[in-house]
Amino acid sequence: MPKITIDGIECEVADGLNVIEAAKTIGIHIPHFCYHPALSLVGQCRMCLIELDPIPKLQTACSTFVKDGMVIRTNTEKVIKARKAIMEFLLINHPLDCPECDQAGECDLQNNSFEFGQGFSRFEEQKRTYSRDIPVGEKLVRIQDRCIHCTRCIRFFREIVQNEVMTYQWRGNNTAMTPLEQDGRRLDTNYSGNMHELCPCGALTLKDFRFKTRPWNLANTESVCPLCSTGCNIFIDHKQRKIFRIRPRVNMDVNTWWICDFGRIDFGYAHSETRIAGPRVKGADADWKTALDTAAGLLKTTGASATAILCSADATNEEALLVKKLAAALGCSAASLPAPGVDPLEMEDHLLLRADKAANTQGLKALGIVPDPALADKLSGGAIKTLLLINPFNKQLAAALDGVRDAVAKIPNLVVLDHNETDFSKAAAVVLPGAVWAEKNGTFTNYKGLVQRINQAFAPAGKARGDFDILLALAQGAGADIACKTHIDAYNEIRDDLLKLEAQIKKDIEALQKAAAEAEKA
Amino acid sequence: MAIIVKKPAPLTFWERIYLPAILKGLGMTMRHMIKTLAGGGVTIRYPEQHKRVPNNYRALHVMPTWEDGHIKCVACEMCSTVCPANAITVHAEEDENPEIEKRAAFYEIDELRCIFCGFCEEVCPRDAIHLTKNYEFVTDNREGFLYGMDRLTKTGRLVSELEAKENKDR
Ligand code: SF4
Ligand code: SF4
Ligand code: SF4
Ligand code: SF4
Ligand code: FES
Repeated sequence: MPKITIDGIECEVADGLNVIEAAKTIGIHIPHFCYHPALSLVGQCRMCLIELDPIPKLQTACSTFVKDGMVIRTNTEKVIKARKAIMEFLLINHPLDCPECDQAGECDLQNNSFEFGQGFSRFEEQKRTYSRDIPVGEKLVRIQDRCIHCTRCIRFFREIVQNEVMTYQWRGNNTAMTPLEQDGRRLDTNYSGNMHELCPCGALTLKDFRFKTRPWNLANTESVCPLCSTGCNIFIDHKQRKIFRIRPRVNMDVNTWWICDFGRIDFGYAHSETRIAGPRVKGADADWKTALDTAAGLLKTTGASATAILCSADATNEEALLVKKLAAALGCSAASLPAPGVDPLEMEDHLLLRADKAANTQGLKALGIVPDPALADKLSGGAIKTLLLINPFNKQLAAALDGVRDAVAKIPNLVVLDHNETDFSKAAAVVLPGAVWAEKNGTFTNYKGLVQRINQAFAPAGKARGDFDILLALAQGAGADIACKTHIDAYNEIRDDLLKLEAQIKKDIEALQKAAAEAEKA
Repeated sequence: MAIIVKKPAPLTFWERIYLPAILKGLGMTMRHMIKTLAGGGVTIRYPEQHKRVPNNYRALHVMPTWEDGHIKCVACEMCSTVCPANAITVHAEEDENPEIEKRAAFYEIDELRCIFCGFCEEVCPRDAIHLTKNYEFVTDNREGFLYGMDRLTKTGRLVSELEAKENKDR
């Protein structure tokens, strides 16, 4: 562990850090544009200049690695002057059109200019401009005038997405980051949206979020992406009970700095036209009390063997616990259906996306709600007279139900708890409008058993209620005596089960990795 | 934390008998009375007469446009952010002209909420919102005070009407 001195503060930092990261550990911020911890070093922007004893010239902090006894200064007159000069250089051709620019408010260029720049420019000539007509695909908007040539985009697509779709074109003053659209290389990769955060200025912004609102108007709720079993950590940025965008939240154990574009853009179902407006009994609008009483009554009528609960793996762990308790009170079985050929560990691409398109398969497994192959037969054979169907809107459950679609729709006492309309909710005897993930509190267990908290961003839309509250009311209506009245009580009750599963999965994954390594050797 | 309260200095003899202050006040009343009787009245017979207000008076807003009628506002939301009364609502949209890029799709000021501080005018980077000296915009319903883009681009005309009135009265 090298001992270094930064701005007179002696400290011991980990081996192999560069000066930016080392300074970060003691709370000193060194401004930078081209450096990103996930990308290779290029030393391109020169914003990170520091003084390094006894070298007479300034050094770039991003490409200088700590050595024992280093003496670093980040706030001398020389450094401050250099930063001012670099900011002036970077802004020579920059249009400074912050009022129109979507990045304003979360722009590194803006922030660093405020903090380290000098507020005026001596450049009087014409600024260079580019055509705005070059298409960059469906997800991003490129305004090359604003680019500061940090090459983060080039390195991101080359190193992280592993699809070389960006390159330099022209030289010097006229350098342009240009998308390559030949040989099947396109900017519309599954991860292009990450350029929204990665580009330090407004040169690459997200089409989906463009001009919707300003970032400072948005509240940020920490949550977890529900669209696959990876469980990427996200911020839900919302305003007035509406999601405006999803951003990645750094978690080195799960998603590092990135999320995929599905997680980023596919949140429309939370506000879609097809959200279930209110509780219904036999197709007619009803109030919550009637609907819950009717549903609880139906669940008790046909006897344990003709009753079943079918639950998608988008339920939180806490809801799953209530499902289990409800099933125990009814004496019936609670299951999910086997989705055709889905293993929660299976990757769909090289980075994050997994084949299992549900958030909580592992959590349900820990609580014993597992796929029941016999259930499909029972459903198609008409043996089930009462079914509580939870969240058939989930793609995976919908796919699993494909074969028995008509049989399920014909079940006389079908109770559907879901957030969006489906064929099932239209055919159901009782419909209970539930919440989407952004409207829920709880935990998801991701593919490797990591239990992650989701936070409620806003209250359920319209007359909908949280699934936890609905299931609690149903279980109480069915006569179960339930001690856990909140999601926190429920979590405390299942924590041990979840931890056990995490340890188990860890072991499984290690065994798998070992086997794979051996297979490779052989 | 202790708070130190400064006691005011004790009143002098003349202050305690109040007479000088009362005489001073009476004098002012007399002066105005004589002035009014002599014809140089201080009362303005509004609305028949209009007071000339200074040019930097802050009242109803106007949204200037370019010569071709295109709105100057680029919907940067600075004004709605700075507004202490939360009186401004802005929604942006893409402009067909890529050079302009962005413009307001919806812009509304609730003049009943507005406290006429002028911050919106001061903060606007595109010189796209001004406060005029037109203080004559009362109506008898709340909707009448919601000024959308369509009305705000035209309120400039009212200023010249007001000035004409001012000049007529003098
Ligand atoms: S990139 Fe940043 S500095 Fe440049 S116009 Fe956009 S917000 Fe302003
Ligand atoms: S487009 Fe953005 S990320 Fe790419 S080089 Fe320019 S400033 Fe850097
Ligand atoms: S009026 Fe000015 S400050 Fe307000 S949104 Fe329009 S351009 Fe921005
Ligand atoms: S004058 Fe002040 S209160 Fe009125 S709209 Fe402008 S910023 Fe808001
Ligand atoms: S961050 Fe060091 S040169 Fe760009």
